[in-house]
Amino acid sequence: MTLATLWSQSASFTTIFLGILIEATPFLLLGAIASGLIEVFVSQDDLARIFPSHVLPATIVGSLLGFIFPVCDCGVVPLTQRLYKKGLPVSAGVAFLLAAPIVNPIVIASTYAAYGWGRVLISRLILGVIVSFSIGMIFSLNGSHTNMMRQVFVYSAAPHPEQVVAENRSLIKRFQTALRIGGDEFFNMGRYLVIGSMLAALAQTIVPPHVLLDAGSGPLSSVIVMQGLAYILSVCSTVDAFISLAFVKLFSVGSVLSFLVFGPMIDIKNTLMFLGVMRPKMVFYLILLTFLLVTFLTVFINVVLGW
Amino acid sequence: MNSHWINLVKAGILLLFTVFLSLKFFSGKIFDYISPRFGWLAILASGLFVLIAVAYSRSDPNQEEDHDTNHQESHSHRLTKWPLIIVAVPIVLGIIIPAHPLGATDVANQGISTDISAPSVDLQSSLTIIPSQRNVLDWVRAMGANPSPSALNGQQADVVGFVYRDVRFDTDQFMVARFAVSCCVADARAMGVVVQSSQSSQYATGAWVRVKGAFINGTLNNSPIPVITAAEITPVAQPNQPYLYP
Repeated sequence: MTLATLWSQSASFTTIFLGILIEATPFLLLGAIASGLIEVFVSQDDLARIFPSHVLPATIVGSLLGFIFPVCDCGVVPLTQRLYKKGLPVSAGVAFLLAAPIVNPIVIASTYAAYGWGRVLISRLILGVIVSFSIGMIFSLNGSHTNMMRQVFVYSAAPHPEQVVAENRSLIKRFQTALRIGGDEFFNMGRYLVIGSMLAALAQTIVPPHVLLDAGSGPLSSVIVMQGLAYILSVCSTVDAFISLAFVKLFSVGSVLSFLVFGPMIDIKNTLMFLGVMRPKMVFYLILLTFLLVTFLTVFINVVLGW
Repeated sequence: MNSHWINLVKAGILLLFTVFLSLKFFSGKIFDYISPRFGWLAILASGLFVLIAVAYSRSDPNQEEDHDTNHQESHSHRLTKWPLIIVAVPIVLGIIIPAHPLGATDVANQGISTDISAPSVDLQSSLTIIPSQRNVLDWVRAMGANPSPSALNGQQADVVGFVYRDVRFDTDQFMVARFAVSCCVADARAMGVVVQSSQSSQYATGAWVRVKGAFINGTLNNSPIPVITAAEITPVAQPNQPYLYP
């Protein structure tokens, strides 16, 4: 490899790296601030009121909760961790973690902008709920908070919880605390975003995405290729609908759906964020189960429904 | 005292983000990374960073007068220095190192095509633009609308792009190309129009040129395709916004 090639490859790498970072930073920030607001303004009792005690309905609520939180896959990790500390059941948390990046209002709006009202938009949402609910339920079989999460919870500028929700705090001070917690959360998750973006940019320089596109043509291989592409592109779910438009000419609807469902749930950057807060074995299962379930459902769409 | 100083460092880093995003936005350089339709997000983020920086710089909202200072230390910042450093580094680099928009050398990564999938609405808008004002993207869409290689015969083109060639091109051919970005760098794809000229070899791959000429029925690598016979090729400077945004 000549010096000139090395130079141009580094320049490409930097452009892709900064591109992912610039695109994702606003969404991580929104998620971090949402996390701070939840910490200050939502108490454990509030959460207990919303969530049914039985595991099945709790998991469904977890999946559907995503409809009201405008966070993408970067922002959802600090938020879920924060909800766990407030006592959210494990299954509901996993369901929320997987569903929120798909069923949230911004993603719905961008998918609508790209595809209009039709089977892509509707299927994306339905698949998102099915997959997140199923995997949430699977995790409820053996998951407890201590099994799932790493012991190191890093918080700062967060005093004793009772103090935070105390009535005698002025609204301004509570907002200030929420913003500070949001800032800390941004730094905490931000390091995974930076490293994840670097890895994703590296992956794309080594395996150019358009090369992957030529690789898959059968009903199964195209689904695997689409999910692999979603993994290395690591684009925020709020904008990935536009990216997927380029694939519509080459791939079936079922395969494009696998990109649109797997990508928001699992990619390089949020794998790193998961590893930051969850035990590695749990992250592995999360990724494996999501991959298998999305593959199964979208191959079904390809082969049986013929979309 | 110690924890307040750390908060000021955090505020400083967040303000660096604001500076970075604002500099890029107002110089237009941010659109080397994202499409203009998402520019507002960068401004929103900048504003939120300022808000958080202010929240950090003011005095601790949870410190009470009778609060034991020893107790305060036990809630001290367990956010280690690593997140701060890792997050700060790319922004510092991004501010110092000039932007490198995607160019000819990136085509190997991003792919190049002579057609582009476009929703029909955009297609119609491209066709309503008079030929002399169409850019490369408009022409590619026009070719997509009518795939016959002689569909554009006689129409005059006046386009700007970078020179691209690979093994498919004859010695007197090159492509005048641009990158099209609908969301961000992740979906950037190069597309262009083939140019035929006896002076092709004078123009190095990657150089920016303006090409004027008429379309004829030509071939690329033995496939028929509309081709511009260049009446005039002039070197130009790279445009401030090198990408096209479908």
